[in-house]
Amino acid sequence: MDYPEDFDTAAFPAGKRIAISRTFGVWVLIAFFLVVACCIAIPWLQNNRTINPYVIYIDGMRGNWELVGQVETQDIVPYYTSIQRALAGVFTEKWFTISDNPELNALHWKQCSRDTDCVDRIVSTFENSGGCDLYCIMSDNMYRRFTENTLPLYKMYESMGQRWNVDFSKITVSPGGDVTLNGGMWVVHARIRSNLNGDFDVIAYVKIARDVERYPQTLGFYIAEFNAYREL
Amino acid sequence: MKRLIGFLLGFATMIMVFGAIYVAASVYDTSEKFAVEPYFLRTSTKSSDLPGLPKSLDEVGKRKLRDWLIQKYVKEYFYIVPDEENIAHRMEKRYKMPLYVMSGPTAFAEWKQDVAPKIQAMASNGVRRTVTVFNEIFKPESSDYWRVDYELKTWYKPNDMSEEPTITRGTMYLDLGDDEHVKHIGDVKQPIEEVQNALQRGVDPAIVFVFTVYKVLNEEK
Repeated sequence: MDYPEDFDTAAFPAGKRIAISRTFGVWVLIAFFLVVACCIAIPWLQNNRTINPYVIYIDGMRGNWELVGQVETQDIVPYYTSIQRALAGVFTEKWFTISDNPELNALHWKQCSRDTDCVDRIVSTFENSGGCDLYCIMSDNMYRRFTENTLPLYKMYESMGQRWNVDFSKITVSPGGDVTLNGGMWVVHARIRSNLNGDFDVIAYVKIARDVERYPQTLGFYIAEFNAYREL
Repeated sequence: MKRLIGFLLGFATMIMVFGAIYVAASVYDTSEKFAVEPYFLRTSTKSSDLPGLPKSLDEVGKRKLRDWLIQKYVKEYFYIVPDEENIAHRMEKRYKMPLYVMSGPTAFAEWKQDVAPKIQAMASNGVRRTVTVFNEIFKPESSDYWRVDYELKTWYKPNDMSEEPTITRGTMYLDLGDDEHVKHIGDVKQPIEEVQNALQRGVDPAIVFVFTVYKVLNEEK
């Protein structure tokens, strides 16, 4: 039956008008419920909006502001970042080592031949010392400054019986600027243990550059600049 | 009459459908809305290894945040790391650079002319300098400038562990604009989508808050 069009029966002439008003009534009711539902949904969704919390870490001692705890993290760490990070840490550790064995110290600090002594030494660079530790992973310019400015001090410390080694539980390496395939700036915080002066903290700014020909043992990465300071 | 009623009914239905589409679209838009809610973690005073507890912006309060932003500005103004690229970046007029974003044109131009060259020369000589703000930051009633006392620790000799840093102190006077601007310091900049994008791009978080220094006067002691 075609309701309400076909409801005009002779027995009940007012039927069609009643049917039309009923139909209107039902539609109005439906529309009314839809409007009410939307009115409820809008404030609910408004309150239920997505919140993106950003945790900002403010280092009260150094004044740095950093964004931490972001949900979208970079899961894949590029190889060049990992190697540079490791190199910065290892170099700092080697730089701040003064052993009680003068021969070992001399071996660490000596200048070697880059072509013969420093090739294929990735294991000794990162793990065991085979000598030439510092020279093999730093630039010639930096090594010259080491021998001119730092080595005399180290030799004096050595003669005074000073022993230094790095506390591995207190070493942190973080980027200090842009880090790319060609190098970058790293900041290393470390605690040095000294037998004469007790522990002291240092901060080192390590600039890493890349030259694949001259530093094949570290995939080309080497220490171009190393500036360390004792923290108060 | 019957056709007219049919037409009106159809017309009413059409209007209702369009209305429903409009309402559905608004509901969809509303559901997509987001807000950036900053929380702050601040180093515990007990140890630099303790990050402290996260605090929301409401808990921190705008006054405290203003002090932090001022400290940040003073730090950006003076700090030195032994990296010439660092100072070169700080001198660029890029929207990533905190000092540029937090300075008015005059303040930035004066820094670039008077302070930056000295910092650049020191950085290339391997100098490191840290900045600490001490004493309360306040604006004397008779002045237009906020008073900030700072201390600089400067290490001139890299790789010399026996060196004690040279300590100098000074006072900075910062013009933070009129009361209306000061009232809005610490608000998150708008539009919120751009703030979100900036944070995801890795900008310094300090620059997402409303804060401008229009003029700097410095007095070294």
